Amino acid sequence: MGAETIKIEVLYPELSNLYGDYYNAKYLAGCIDNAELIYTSNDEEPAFVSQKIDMIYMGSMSERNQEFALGHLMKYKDKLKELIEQDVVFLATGNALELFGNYIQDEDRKIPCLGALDFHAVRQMNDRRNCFFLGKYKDMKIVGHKGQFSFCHGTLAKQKNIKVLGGFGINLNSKSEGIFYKNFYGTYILGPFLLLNPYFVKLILNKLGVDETLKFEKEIIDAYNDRLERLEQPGTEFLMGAE
Amino acid sequence: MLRFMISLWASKLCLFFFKLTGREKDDRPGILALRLCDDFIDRVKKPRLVVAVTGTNGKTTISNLVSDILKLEGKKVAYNTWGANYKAGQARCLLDAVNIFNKPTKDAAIVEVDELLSYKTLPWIQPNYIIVTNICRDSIRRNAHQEYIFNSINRGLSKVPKAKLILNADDPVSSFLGEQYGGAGEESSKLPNKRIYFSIADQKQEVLPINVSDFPVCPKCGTKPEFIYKHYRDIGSFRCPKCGLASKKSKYIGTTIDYDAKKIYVSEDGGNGTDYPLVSDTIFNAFNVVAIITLFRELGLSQKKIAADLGKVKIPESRMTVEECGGIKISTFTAKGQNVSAASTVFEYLAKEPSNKELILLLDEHYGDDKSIETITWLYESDFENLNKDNIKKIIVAGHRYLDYRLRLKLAGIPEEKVVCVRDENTIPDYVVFDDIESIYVLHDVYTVSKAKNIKEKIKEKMQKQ
Repeated sequence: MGAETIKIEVLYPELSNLYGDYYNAKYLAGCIDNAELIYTSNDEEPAFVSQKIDMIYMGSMSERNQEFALGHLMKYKDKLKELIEQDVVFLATGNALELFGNYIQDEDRKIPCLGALDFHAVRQMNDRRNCFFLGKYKDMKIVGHKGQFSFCHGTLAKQKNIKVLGGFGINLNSKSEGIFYKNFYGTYILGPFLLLNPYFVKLILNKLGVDETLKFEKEIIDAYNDRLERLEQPGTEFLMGAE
Repeated sequence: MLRFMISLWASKLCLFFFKLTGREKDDRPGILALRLCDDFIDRVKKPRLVVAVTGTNGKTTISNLVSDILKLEGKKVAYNTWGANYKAGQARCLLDAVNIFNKPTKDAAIVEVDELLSYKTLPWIQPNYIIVTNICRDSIRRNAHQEYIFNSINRGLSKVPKAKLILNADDPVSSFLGEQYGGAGEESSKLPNKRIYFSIADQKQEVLPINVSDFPVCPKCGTKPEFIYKHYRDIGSFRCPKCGLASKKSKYIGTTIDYDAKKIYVSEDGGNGTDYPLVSDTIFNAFNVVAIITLFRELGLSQKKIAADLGKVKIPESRMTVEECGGIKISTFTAKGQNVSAASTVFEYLAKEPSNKELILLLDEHYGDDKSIETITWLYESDFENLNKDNIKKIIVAGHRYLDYRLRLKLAGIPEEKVVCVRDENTIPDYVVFDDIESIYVLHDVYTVSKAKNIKEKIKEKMQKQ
């Protein structure tokens, strides 16, 4: 582990903290001895434009706030593409991942997105879907909760990332969850995704090239194991109604 | 028509039987009515006055108090005191307001309306008045986010153009109901409903920081709003520095609150008003009281009568109880797990309430079911950090989510020696220590009212033995 500061930029904390998502970045920074969290609002120039950033994080947004975020981020779409290709770590939870695709289709409206990754989202505001989620990525089980009006389709949405063991995938016909490309990790799992998945935190720490010891490691793993045990019980109902 | 009449007779008979056997607080007559006639709520005749109460927090408290005041005024009222705000509860309420010939027998019906389903049910209920308490963060599974709920209520309002809206001008979200901004590509528009606003003036109170904002950006232009003052969370008066969107002007304003004397002065149209009794010492209940005053003033009841009636009514026990035992105040409080705004608002109140206290959190959705799983995003939206105060001596958490709480409370910086997290809620009294505390608060969900009551009784037993 080097002494160099690890810089994590949280994009638009006002807009993209719908379900306590910002705790992901806060927790991650708490696991790193020399981390710096940079919060960038939608009236500021992002730090990634002018300095070396190790990781970019975005969380869930309301649909209106997605468009406010896009309105600001479009100016930097080429830079964002470049950073993804340069293996900078990205984590996008909830519908934040949709911004990195080609467009969002909302009935007859087509909302242009960053076009950094080859997929698109289809939104249906009259059809909210909820599920508990259990999946497998590499040798780790992934747990969480999904609640969404939109799903991803297109080339990257067809890749096998997190294998769905319970709940639904990146779209209702998919058995895979997440949009992963190089070090870009996008998942519809909501809110405190990292707090729910300590082994995924270790993966991110590994990508950042730092020690993989977690903050409150025993507590976070105990809570994870308990949740995993419950989700793996036979007969677990993963799908939930919206009313 | 025949289908409706059969459903009315059958459900009335069912209600009669339930009342006879002391099971009045039951939605099943409503379920039966809807099973036999799915548009029962639409078809049943309504009393002359129908008040709908919707919004995230405060519905049951307001509905109970409005109903109680109407009764004090000699009116016959149909209302479900237990807070049944889904279709079955509404059908149960309204079928009690007519006779077997579908003729109204009551003067008024107070109908609690679930905010998510309001787009369906408001047009059936056809209220004269709609009180919207607030639109705050709630269960993500049901309510997604405030914008979604805002749109749901607005859809309902568009179908009841004659209903007068009573709106909280200090809630930057719900106060714009009846309007729609073009922020998400939609045209700005206004509904014809008459709107009456209420608010509470700046009380210069300290407002604790929050993890997740209810109103992070201006809905019109996306700019961070400037708050002129806040009462708690994002309840307060704002102005957008970019586009000028600002809080609505209120007709009814709670200008001065005296918590010690439990009274609030409410002025009208910027002129004279009067003092009214408060039903508790919490700011969120002060808003509930001002909403009620607004309704009754609009209905023409005198200030004097409203003040006298408010002095006689109480918050329902399902929401709050307070009693003293051995010199220690024991309270039960609805804080609602999964409901971020309700939980965080109560946390803020407890942090500021100066007594040395122990907290018991019974906020899981499920107890006693070993297989239960539930969403915990709300734990990371809620302001557990605000419980890290010297006057909070211990936090006892029980239920299946105890390991999630253990991590969350550690991350909130609560010292380990102050925290007890256990799976079995029956062991809670074992961890309560009465030395050096003045109060104990049992925070519970709407589904754990009786559990909270049992735990309170066990704590009292332990106290009496000592």
